[in-house]
Amino acid sequence: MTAIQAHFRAVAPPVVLMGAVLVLWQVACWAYPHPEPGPVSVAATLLHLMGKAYFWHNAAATGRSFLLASGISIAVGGALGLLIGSSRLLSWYLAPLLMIFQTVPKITLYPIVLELFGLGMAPKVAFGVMHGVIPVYFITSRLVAGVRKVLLRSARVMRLGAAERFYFVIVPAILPDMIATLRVSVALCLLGVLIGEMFASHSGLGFMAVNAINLGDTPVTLAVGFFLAFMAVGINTLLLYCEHKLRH
Amino acid sequence: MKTGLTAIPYALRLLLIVVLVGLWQVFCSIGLLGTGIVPAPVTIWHDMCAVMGQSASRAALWLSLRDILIAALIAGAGGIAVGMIVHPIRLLRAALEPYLASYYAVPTFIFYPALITVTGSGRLPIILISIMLGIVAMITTTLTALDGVSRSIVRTARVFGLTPLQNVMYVRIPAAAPMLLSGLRLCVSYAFIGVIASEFIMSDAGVGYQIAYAYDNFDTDTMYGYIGCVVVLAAATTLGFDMIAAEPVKREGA
Amino acid sequence: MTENGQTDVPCVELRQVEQRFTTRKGGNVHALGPLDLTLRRGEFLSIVGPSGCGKSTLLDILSGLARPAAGQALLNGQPIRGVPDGVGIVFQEDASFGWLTVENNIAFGLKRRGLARDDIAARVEHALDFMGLRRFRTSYPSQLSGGMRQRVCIARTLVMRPSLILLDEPFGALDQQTRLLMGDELLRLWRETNATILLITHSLDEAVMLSDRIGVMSARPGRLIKLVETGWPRERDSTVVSSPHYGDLLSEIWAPLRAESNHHMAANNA
Ligand SMILES: Nc1ncnc2c1ncn2[C@@H]1O[C@H](COP(=O)(O)OP(=O)(O)OP(=O)(O)O)[C@@H](O)[C@H]1O
Ligand SMILES: [Mg+2]
Repeated sequence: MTAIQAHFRAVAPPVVLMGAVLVLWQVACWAYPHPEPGPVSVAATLLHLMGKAYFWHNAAATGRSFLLASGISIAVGGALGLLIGSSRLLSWYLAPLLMIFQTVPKITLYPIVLELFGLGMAPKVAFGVMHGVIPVYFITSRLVAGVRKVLLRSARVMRLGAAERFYFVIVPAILPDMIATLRVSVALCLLGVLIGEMFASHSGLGFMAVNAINLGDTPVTLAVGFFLAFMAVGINTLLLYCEHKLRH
Repeated sequence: MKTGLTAIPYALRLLLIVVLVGLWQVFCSIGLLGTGIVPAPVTIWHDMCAVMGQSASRAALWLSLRDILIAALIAGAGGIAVGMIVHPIRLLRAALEPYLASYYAVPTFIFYPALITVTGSGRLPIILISIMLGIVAMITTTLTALDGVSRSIVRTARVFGLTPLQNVMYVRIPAAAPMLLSGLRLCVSYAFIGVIASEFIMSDAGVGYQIAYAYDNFDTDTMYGYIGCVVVLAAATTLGFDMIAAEPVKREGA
Repeated sequence: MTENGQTDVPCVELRQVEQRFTTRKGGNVHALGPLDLTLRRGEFLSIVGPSGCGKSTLLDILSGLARPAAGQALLNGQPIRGVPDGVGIVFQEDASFGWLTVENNIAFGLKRRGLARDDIAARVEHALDFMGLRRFRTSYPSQLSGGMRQRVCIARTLVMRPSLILLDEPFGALDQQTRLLMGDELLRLWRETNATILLITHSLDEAVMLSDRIGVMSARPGRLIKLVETGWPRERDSTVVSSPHYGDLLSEIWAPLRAESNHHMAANNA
């Protein structure tokens, strides 16, 4: 009973908020008629799309690229963060380089990405990684640098080797915060993949959206947008659940 | 104070970038990096000079830069304000949290064309979309920063009988300042991405538009010239921010 | 062996040990010394001294976490380089691993050393009883009070059966009753294992009650200004507080400490 109540208390506010926004939007559509579609027609379009095989085909393409891109980002960014993050000096020197890359709008690099990877899945994954890997690195190295000194001193007194220190002390110490912040970087991977699809691919939800934009088909654009939003919230909730399991 | 000894690491940091660019040039010159993929830095530099030589291109750059600054400032200030308001209202925060966390997975500029039909074309939708992109990062950072202000500090403020406004001005903001600065830096980042990407997708002015236009016309020289300018601008803002932001962070750590 | 159970064999020898730090702004802090101190094997020595006088710094040197800036630190006649075998330390700060349960925290070092499973289990059981943590064996540190967390850290160090035990304010977060009981337990363990113990404490009572000798340190840079022999028998516990000798010892270490503190405060205000 209490577990259900707690669950309800966590889920109810966001759902109520979303409901309120949708109702307001619909009411505004009725009150001031203009060419933009309201939530009801967007929902109808989405339902219609979800009945089509090509929609799921595109969603699966996005999903595959997303998984690959997040996997690579987490593996590469995490490993670099662990290694470089434990050296204050090294991370300080590398920070501006990576920050610059972070600030450059990746979209402007798309001619280069196309040149390097051609069309298809590779450039999508590349865009995903380009968006995700630096944030993962920054998060990991910040967390590694923030591990309390007394824990590292304990590891030294127990005469743990470097590998043991990473595996038994540093990684478990940062894991819950890591997952908490990974939620944001994984979201950026998805964003990167979608951008890749919008400009460098002929499949995926990003491609569907850009097609609809070019055709001026706003209901489909919004339907795809909302589907993506739901997916993003779903992934976020899943990771939140993992985080809660890991925190004591 | 950055004088004498303490300025050296900053200089070395710049030197590192120079060395890497030099290596890139060497690789291109000896043909290890095919010039078909990425041109050599010197070539890009020439392209950049050519681009900067035209007053129309300078105007395009200035236009983008101006809107980036406007968007970053509004997103930063707005984000801090929203964060401050939402933080104490637990229910509101619980309602917003999942959307804040998954916000960046949704390519905001999918909604840009729809926005144009509401606001009309021009710079307004570009600035709006950039604010939308950056403000959420600032809200999230503000919330995290306020969470991080230790309980004893909050309690002390209460014991001193500060009004809510005094509490915000003299306790909460100073205590959260280092994190708020890093949030502001994110806002600049996102404003960059927002303005240039929007121009790239659908616009008739600005650097983003110029890059897309040059690309569509197979004018690679101009394209790389503009890309170079964007990277240099990004580098300048990042490093500039770093120098301003580094001081208070250090003070806090000392 | 002398009558109270110690030997005259030196376990630790510090000769003119000094420590200095450079601050971020390039300044120089003379944190410790020069300090001479010999710990006999099997002895229980406590150190008291004003805050910031370099007590934790001293333990860092003894545990091999830091090299002294000058002087020599010897363990069993060998210079200390890196963390030596058989040294256990309990830090002043909470060093419990937040991601492990109480029992896994205690077993951590034993597992890393690759001991047999039964042996680990037996030692952990014993430590849980010893530290009064049995009810909390599957709890995580975040669910415990500060004092209980500190007990977890003590247990994690003691199960390794170190021959030299360094304790930095281990009972700081405990209430007075528990402090007394833990002190008794520590004395019992000390007798059973023949370990050498160096205890840093801010409590003069504790120092007098537990130790064979008490070192009093000056304000920073900390030097040894007095070394007091208590003369307690090896078989002792917290009931020594009722001994008439107790009050004398207390005033004997309080006198130099009081002078030092006064002097220090005056210097800081100047
Ligand atoms: N890494 C360091 N850099 C600079 N100064 C330091 C460093 N570590 C310690 N100090 C200084 O050395 C002095 C001794 O510190 P230490 O921690 O050993 O004191 P302490 O006797 O343990 O104090 P307390 O009783 O409060 O624990 C202090 O003045 C401290 O500021
Ligand atoms: Mg200390």
